[in-house]
Amino acid sequence: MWIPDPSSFQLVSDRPIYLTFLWLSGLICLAFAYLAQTRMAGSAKAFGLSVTEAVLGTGLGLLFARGFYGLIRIGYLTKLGDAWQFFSFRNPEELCFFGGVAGVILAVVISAYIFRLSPIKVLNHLTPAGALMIALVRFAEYFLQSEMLGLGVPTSIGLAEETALAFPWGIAIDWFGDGTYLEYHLAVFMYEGLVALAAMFFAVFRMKDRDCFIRTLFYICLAQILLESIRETSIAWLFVKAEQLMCFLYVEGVLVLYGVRRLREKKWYGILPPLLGLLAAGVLILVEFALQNKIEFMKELGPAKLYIIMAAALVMLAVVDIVHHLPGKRQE
Amino acid sequence: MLRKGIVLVIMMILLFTGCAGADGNKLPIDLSPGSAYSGQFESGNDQVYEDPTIRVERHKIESASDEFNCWVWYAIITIADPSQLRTYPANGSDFCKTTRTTIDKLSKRVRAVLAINGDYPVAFSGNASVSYVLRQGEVYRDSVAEGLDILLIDEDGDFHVLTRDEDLAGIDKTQIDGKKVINAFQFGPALIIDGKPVDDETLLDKSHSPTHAEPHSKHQRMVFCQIDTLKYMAVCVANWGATLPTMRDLVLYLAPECRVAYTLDGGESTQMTFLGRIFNNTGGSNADPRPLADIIYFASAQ
Repeated sequence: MWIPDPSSFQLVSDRPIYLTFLWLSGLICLAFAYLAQTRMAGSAKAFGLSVTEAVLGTGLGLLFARGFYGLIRIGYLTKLGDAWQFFSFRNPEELCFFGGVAGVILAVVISAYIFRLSPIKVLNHLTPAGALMIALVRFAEYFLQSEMLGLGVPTSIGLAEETALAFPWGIAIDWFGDGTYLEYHLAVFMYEGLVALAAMFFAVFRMKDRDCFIRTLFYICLAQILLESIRETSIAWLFVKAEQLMCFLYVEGVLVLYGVRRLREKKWYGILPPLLGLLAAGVLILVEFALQNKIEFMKELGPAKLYIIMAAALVMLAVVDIVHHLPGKRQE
Repeated sequence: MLRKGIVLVIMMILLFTGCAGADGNKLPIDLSPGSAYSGQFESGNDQVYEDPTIRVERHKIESASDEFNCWVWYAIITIADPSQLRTYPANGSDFCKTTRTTIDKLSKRVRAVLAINGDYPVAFSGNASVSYVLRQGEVYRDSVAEGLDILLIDEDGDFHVLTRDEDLAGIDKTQIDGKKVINAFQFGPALIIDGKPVDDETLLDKSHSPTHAEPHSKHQRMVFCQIDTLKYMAVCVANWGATLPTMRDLVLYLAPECRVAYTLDGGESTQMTFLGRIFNNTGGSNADPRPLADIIYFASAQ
């Protein structure tokens, strides 16, 4: 397999390419979505549905992406005393990725109601296309310099500064273009893209499952909790990274849903999924605080072991999801 | 006649090369890096870097004196041209973005001979989150944090303080005394203004400090000073830090001729690098340095 020399990468900051990449990704995913929906609703209805989703999705996606960003930074924006700042779309970094996802989901639900289809069914059929879109958007972040700089700190997971991982796992930036100063980073944007790609394949084979959409997003969020920790570019509320918190709230919401389903079946162990979610939250907070040198407890373990503990907590939640969906459990 | 002609030609060549040399010692007022330097960090408490355009000496006072009772790191910097006093954001292009990176990386990215933390213009909440941000000649945020002193650095590299009592929002902060402002910071408070120490009562008024102004609040702090024309000092403290009046007295102890001293972001953000290596330690023995949003640095222009 051909692997490019990681040290050959230069700093790239090309917003027009980034935006072009986004539009092309959007079109590919729309075509993908149309094909999936044709199987569900016929070609004529699928075309109308896809166009409605595209128009509403673009509008609501952008609005929610900016709206969520505004909510995250409400204190700052209100202090500026300029209401326009809240709605100003100055650059892609000032949009909340998960806000955008929420906007698109809402657009799909509205579109489904307009065409008198089950929103859950439509969401499930769109999930692979959505995951592909997330993957392509993440890959496109290569063209955003600020995102490039938010890749991560290799030393923080115990790798030597001189160790360059091969692309796509690592990336080396030749800062002055003459090899005098190379900076090695973990290519977190690539990891995020690959996670979304894996989620896409997961969704393709489970499109007809009742929980296809919520499970796919569940796994994307689980991975994002870890990846957000490695990223340098994060908005933090005190010491909690905002997107980590949002991802966890979604994950816990899904676990509560699983719990409620079991409790309705009079199964006492319905209380376990949300409780395990809270247990994992405690572990994640401790690890994150230890990584940020905020507590002495566990700090001596070092970043590599701390990240392993964090990953173990997240794997535990993935196992909860798998157990909930073992054959014999209720499926559509 | 021939001899006069030769002398005239030589003089013209000298004049021409002299002018070229002066231009060569100026760095552009933008976010580009400084010139390459050839020194390497050496262990020990004291070290000097010197080339024709810059001289930086760094020192550490380990023994806690009775008067200050803390560890002190300081650097005296002399530059040939004001453009060598520069600022740089972690984001690489915008000072108001939330990207944060470790100071050793930032200082290597811009070839800083000496770098210190800035005023953390991306503060998430509180008054400082709307501080005035002007860097490398460009206004990045035209709002004002009420009650906090503003430090302006003009095109000649001279420091000016706009105090909290002035109409900070109304004043034109892009110019001062007819000179263009290249960098502006809003954190503070100013400890010394135009050679006059600020009184204790003003320094301990916590409504005019972003953080930790209380009389017994000993913290890691970073103070940026102008000692003379194109001569500066950066001082920081740890174990167990200092109050604001103590910092003022420390600055006067180290540089009695100090013209302006201004407090920058502190706590674990109090960081200094020399030739690409952090040389203060304010976060504990094993702690990774806290990533920063912006730095102030001095670069070579040779």
